[in-house]
Amino acid sequence: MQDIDVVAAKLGPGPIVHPDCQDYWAELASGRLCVPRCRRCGTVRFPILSVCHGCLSREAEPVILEETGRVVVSVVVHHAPKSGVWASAVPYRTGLVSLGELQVPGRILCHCGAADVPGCEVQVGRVPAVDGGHVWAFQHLCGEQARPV
Amino acid sequence: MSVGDACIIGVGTSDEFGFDLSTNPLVLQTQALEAALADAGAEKNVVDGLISSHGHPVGVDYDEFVLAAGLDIRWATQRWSHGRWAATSMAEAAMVVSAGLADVVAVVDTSTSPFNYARHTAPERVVGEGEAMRDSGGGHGEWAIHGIDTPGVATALAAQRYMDLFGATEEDLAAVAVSFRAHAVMNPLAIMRNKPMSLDDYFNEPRMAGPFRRADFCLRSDGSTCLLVTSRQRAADFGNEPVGIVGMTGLRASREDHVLFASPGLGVGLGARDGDIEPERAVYAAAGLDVDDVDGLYVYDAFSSNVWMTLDRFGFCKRGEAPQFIRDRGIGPGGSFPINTNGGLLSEAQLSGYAHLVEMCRQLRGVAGSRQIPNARVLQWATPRGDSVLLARR
Repeated sequence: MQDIDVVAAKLGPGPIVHPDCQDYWAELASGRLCVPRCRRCGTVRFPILSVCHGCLSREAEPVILEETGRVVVSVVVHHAPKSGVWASAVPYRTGLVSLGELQVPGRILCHCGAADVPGCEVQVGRVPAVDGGHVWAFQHLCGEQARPV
Repeated sequence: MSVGDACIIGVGTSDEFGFDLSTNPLVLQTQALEAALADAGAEKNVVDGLISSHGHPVGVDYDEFVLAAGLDIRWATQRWSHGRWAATSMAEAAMVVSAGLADVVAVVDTSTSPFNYARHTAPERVVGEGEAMRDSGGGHGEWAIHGIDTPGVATALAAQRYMDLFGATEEDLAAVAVSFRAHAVMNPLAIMRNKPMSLDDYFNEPRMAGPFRRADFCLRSDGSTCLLVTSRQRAADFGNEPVGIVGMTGLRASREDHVLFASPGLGVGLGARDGDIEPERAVYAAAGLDVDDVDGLYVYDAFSSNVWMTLDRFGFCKRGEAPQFIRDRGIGPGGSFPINTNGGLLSEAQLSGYAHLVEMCRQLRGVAGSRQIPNARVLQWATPRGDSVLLARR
């Protein structure tokens, strides 16, 4: 049973939760990163949408993703629009991580710089959002507690 | 009549482009229409088609413009308010006049930045994360909840991926922005015409995201453009040299194209297909031309790296070799392969690519002044996403 850690980080916005996706965000709040898997054709779906991009079925069941992935690409964000939540969080690192057969965006928490390099191994975590919810993120195990950049 | 018979017979812009013109979008768009009509030697009653890019609040909804300008229109459409529709709009105009659905189509684009005039018109709608909060993220590959909150951050990931894969450097990125600024210095309409930028100036710009500095981001500006499209037969009735719309391809959309300003095969789309792809050739085939026939390129340069992606995608060079192509050929003034002679979105103004098309018409008529491309006959507008328009002298 997955039980992903809550990682301290500067706060960003939480997801817009609505009836068709609320179960997946509830799973994350319980420590499991899940996405839909099509009941008809078995396609694992990302992003979390209500329709299967393989067969157009609306039937799905949650599947837990792997806990470890590898960085595809990452960047440090130094500037964000003043009107948005992220303005108070810069600098921070974000990027794309390969997680099994999926490629998933997320904050990447690393203070040693190793996550600059594609292929760097990272673990799934979750970070609190400004509205009290959680968003998944990734952390490189730098050898000490990770910070946002 | 084939679609290849469509022509542009008039171009115009608002009186100026700027960061905050304190002029509302309706007035800017009227200025652009008047200028295009004057350029064509036409009266407004010849316009019976209208294709509008941005609607309220950053632009003008088509119906409001018809009402305000006293037009009588029999073909009207309006785009989702994004700067990705220039090729689609021109293609639609060409098809409309070719099909006889309208005689003269005005393709108008007006945008005012959320930080400029649009803050007066509906500030609650134009500032914020917006589409980046959709379940599928934003229309440029943004994911607001993951800190990929703007098109700039999404594109920075694509640019960084390109650099990781192919060894492109920050100096290669700088070459794009510095070249476009040098073009802009020769363009009286360019917002940055009085701000030349050296390589040192570029590297002194503040970091924004990943490899991007401020100069790698397009301007957030106010302005308007208008292009009048008609058939070749009808063009003879106007006083201007027609510019032919000789080739066009539409906007690509797929899971692989999720990041708008990344070329397929880069490995940043949701399809995550990584590897070589075939260059886009359809736009040349439609015109009976080849990539080598292009005298100058006009790239939707929302960000500097778009130029790399576009050169790769259309086969101007092998995949990953765009920075070398730029070094070898030169894309600024005096270079052998000019790109964005107007200064582009980086240094002229962010007008959704339509101002590039205005500049292409001026180049093909030979009236571009000090930035004139010698003997320009075929020019291409293109994006990393594969949509494109070829314009040529008739």
